[in-house]
Amino acid sequence: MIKRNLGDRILVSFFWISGLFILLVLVAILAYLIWRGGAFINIDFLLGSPEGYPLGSEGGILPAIKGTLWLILLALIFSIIPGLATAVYLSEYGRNKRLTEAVNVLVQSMMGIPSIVVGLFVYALCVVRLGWGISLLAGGVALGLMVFPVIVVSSRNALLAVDDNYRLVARALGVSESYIFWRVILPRAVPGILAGILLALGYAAGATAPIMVTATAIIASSSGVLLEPVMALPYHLYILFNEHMSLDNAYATALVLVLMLVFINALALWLHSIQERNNA
Amino acid sequence: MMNTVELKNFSTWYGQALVLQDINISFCNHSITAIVGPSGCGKTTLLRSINRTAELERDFTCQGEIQVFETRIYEAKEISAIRRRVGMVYQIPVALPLSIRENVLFGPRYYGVNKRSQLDNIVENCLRKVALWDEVKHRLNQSADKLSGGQKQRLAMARVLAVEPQVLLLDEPCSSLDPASTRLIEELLEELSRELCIIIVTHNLPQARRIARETVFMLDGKVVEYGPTAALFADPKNEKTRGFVSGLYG
Ligand SMILES: Nc1ncnc2c1ncn2[C@@H]1O[C@H](COP(=O)(O)OP(=O)(O)OP(=O)(O)O)[C@@H](O)[C@H]1O
Ligand SMILES: [Mg+2]
Repeated sequence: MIKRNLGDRILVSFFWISGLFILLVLVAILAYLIWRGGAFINIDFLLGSPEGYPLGSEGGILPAIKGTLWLILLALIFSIIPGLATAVYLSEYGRNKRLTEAVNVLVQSMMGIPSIVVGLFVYALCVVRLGWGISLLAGGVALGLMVFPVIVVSSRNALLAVDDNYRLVARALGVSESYIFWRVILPRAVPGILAGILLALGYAAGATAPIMVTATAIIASSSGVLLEPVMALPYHLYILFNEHMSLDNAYATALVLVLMLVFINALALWLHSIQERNNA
Repeated sequence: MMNTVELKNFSTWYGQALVLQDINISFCNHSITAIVGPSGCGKTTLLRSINRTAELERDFTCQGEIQVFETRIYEAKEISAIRRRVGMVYQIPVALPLSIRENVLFGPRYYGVNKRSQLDNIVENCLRKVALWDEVKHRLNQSADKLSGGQKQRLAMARVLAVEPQVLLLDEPCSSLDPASTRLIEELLEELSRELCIIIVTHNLPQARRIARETVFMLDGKVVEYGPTAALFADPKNEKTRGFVSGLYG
């Protein structure tokens, strides 16, 4: 054991206690949800539709699960292609350029836009102006817009984390930038990019504000029709709580949502650790 | 002896800073030339100007002329062809994150070689030239990450040789290697100098004396003295060269 002085020890204990405290809060949330909602999760709940009066006080949440999956699928479709393209530009082609700095600042500030503002923007543009109405498509656009900067920043960082020496030695052979990118840079960055996408996915799955004003209904079949409203887990949860319909179902729904997010984030962390190992 | 690489009134800047100042020098074919000088005097910049990779840096500008085998490289349209003809090996041994075989084939595949027999030939020839073949022939498909520093540096040389350069530039290739690996690479360079024009930057003066036929001494972006190695070390014409070779600077 290395002997530490008193100041060091106090500081280290402080870090430990803070960490433990956060962990405790997380465990407490999960435990509470399991205690209140765990017993109500069963096949009927997962595969049934909301029933009873008021609607949702009985029955299941399948349409909400389906709706959330549809929404994040659309959000990813709308954000991944432009997000990756932007990231590749920023890390590979736009190095040393003025425009790059501007885009970086822009993307960074996009992250700071409150999600409800994104929602209202899409409401004004897509729902009203383009006449899509409250719809799955509009919700997908809103969530896509919300997670776009997350994807840009995480993919850009994953690409920038790849050892620059690879670019240096490869360029000196006279091969083109895109050849280097496809053969060396991208394969190294893939785990980091995937981790970023999963993080974005988790972010989209849990967001309520942007879909409340663009996509969701209290009851809908969520069968994937683009111009129809859908149900979604976080919104369903909000309704159940807010209208005091069924707290049991609310806690069970919350538990399903949280477990989904924990799973996604764990996957993201695991991929991220692969990226770190790759570029060590 | 034919002049292979020739610089005429060549100057470079990074932004406003003058880095190389009016360089006039020519390098011989089939021989090793060493470039020595204190840190920051512009040796790396000079090498990177010769294969047109210096311009990848921000705000690089240059003036004057460099000819490689009679081609004015800064007037050439095909930068890629210039880089291919003038290979470069760097200070840090870098293995691309591919197999040993694919490291060697990285350039040839880009330049359109795709016949299996040809590719096999290139791999074996190039690895033999750098004396790596016997050490790796059983594990060509394994990742190159696991090679030692000295092996990686030889692999880097093989990767460059695989695109058949006429000039080989080396920037302190041995500075992170142990004496045995260093000695091995020096022998390889002597062997390779029969076919190539080799220019090596080194901080190791005994190394320059061992392998270089001619030596260039640079200071503050200028060539101070240039001549046969033995003469430059034994009887420097210039005061500053005398100081450097007797260990006063750098
Ligand atoms: N990308 C760059 N941008 C701006 N200035 C640079 C850049 N690269 C090098 N320089 C400057 O150019 C000068 C020459 O650098 P160079 O790397 O050629 O020196 P060197 O002789 O190779 O030194 P060393 O022996 O330490 O490798 C230095 O003053 C350095 O600060
Ligand atoms: Mg240098």
